Amino acid sequence: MQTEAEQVKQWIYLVGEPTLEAEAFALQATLGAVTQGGSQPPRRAFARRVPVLVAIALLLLGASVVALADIGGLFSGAPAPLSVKQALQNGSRGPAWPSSRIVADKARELVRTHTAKGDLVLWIAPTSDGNLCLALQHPGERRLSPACIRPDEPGGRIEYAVDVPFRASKADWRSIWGRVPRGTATLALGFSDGTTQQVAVSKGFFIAPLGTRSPNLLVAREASGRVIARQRVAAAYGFTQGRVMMFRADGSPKVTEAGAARVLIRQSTWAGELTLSTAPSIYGGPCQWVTIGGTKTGFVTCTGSLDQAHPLQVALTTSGLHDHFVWVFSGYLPNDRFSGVRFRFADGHVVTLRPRAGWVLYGFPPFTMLREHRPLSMDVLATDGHVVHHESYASSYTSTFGTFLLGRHGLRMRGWVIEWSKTHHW
Amino acid sequence: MGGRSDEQLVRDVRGGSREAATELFTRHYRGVWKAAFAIGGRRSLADEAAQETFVRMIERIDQYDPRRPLRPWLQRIAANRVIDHLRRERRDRPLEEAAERIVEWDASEAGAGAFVERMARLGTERRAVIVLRYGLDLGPAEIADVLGVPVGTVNSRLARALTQLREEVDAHADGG
Repeated sequence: MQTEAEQVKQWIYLVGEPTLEAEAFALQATLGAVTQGGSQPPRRAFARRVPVLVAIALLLLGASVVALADIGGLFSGAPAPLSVKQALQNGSRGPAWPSSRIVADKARELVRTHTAKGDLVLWIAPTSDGNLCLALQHPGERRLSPACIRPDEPGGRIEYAVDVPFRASKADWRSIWGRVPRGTATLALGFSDGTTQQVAVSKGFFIAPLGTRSPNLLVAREASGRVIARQRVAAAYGFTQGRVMMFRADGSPKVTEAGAARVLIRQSTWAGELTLSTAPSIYGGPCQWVTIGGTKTGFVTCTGSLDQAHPLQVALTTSGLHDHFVWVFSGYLPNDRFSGVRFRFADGHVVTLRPRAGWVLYGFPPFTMLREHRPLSMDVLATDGHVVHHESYASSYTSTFGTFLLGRHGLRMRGWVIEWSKTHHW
Repeated sequence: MGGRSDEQLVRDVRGGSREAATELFTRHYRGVWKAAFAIGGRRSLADEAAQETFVRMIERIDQYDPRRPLRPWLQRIAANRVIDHLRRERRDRPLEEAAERIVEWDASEAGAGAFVERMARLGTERRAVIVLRYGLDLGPAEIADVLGVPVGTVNSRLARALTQLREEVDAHADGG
């Protein structure tokens, strides 16, 4: 038996390494527990990002414009309480809709559904440029992450988004919500085990709590039972929560068509080549993902479409293993509306990224982790050059780096960063 | 700082020392994470379990007997957390998803690939017993406590797992 024991011990030693990001979150949670006397462990920051990321899954295809008068019916529900209006206002301060703002004062209740854990409520508010913003509120939550859509009816398609509560430590509380084509009386969710779940439709919208289940089919029917729309559910980011996103050896997600990967952007970094690739999802629509040194990272988005209704999606993320750690910026910026993204650094340096096929990708040089070289801000530039969105990194970016440069491993990494910076410059 | 024993650090953590908590975390996080990853097979699961383990360590630090080694205690908590997560998933997910074989282990080390495949084929229950017994050196009674099953079940799972592992080795050898 000695052989198996030794083999198992050796295997556990070699089985893999935690990412620096996971380690940092765990350390934060541990120290948080010390501070709080062990009462309330802080949750992973991943969960807070999820609603923003899954909003990308909102499908907006085949629109047929309707008169604005029809939209009025959507605002006949009870006025939103002040806390919701404030949450909508705060939630809209992201880069997703830089050219408009949510008119939170006009927010109304659109759909409400009862669950064992409390009510799920879909709130709706107009934007200053005539679009609609919707936000699902989970029981007991005050924060909202609105997703904004055009008022156009979705034609023959079902638009949907998957939402996860901000405070969810586990993916056992997800919901799907969205909009159905005109004339839809009922919506059925189909699951991989052959079961279905009927969902009520109200004013053309629906909400369905999912728990940990993931539907793979949506079917909209008229009152007579005739099918109006039937579509596969894209393997969006939200549906990978609670399940693992499987990857091939080349770093591509297994939900994409094999052999169809196309590299959109490459960049050489200290941790190896950084790439942004794309391939069609087997569920329809494109997937994009980032690899470093030919291996997978946590960054994957799969959507039914990334169309013009989403003018901008940007994300600052971390990737890589211990000792090979990179801050990565990636974003979707349709070329017809945006000309680039500009970063300003504390040492006066300016880096401007130009979109390629609508995408930008940037691995920050290691010396930008040092205070004197840290990034200060990001500007999103319109095609005419003016700034349509400004974001400061003065606190969030540098404090995050501060976390990673703490502790035994962080000190070692800081040493490398300093050494590396002596021989590498802009 | 580096010269202090786990016992001393635990005492300091009880006094509210964040510095001592950081040192304990730095010493043991990777070992705990690897144990969780070996049992669960998924990074996300290992991340959650390892994080919860250290938060629980702080929450239950008063219950810990500092004369006993810390790492096995932590690894046992981590194993429990992974098993709990998997149990919940199996209850909540369709059978075909729960049965899905998931392998995210690093098979890049020379010679490790075949062993990774054999461990993956074991399935979660048998793999957990193997990891707890031979990886973490727990006795059958302790494993029974972690898994919440009778000792007899642990012994039978262990025997079947070893048989399967050896058969796989033999088949591999026969196949060249």
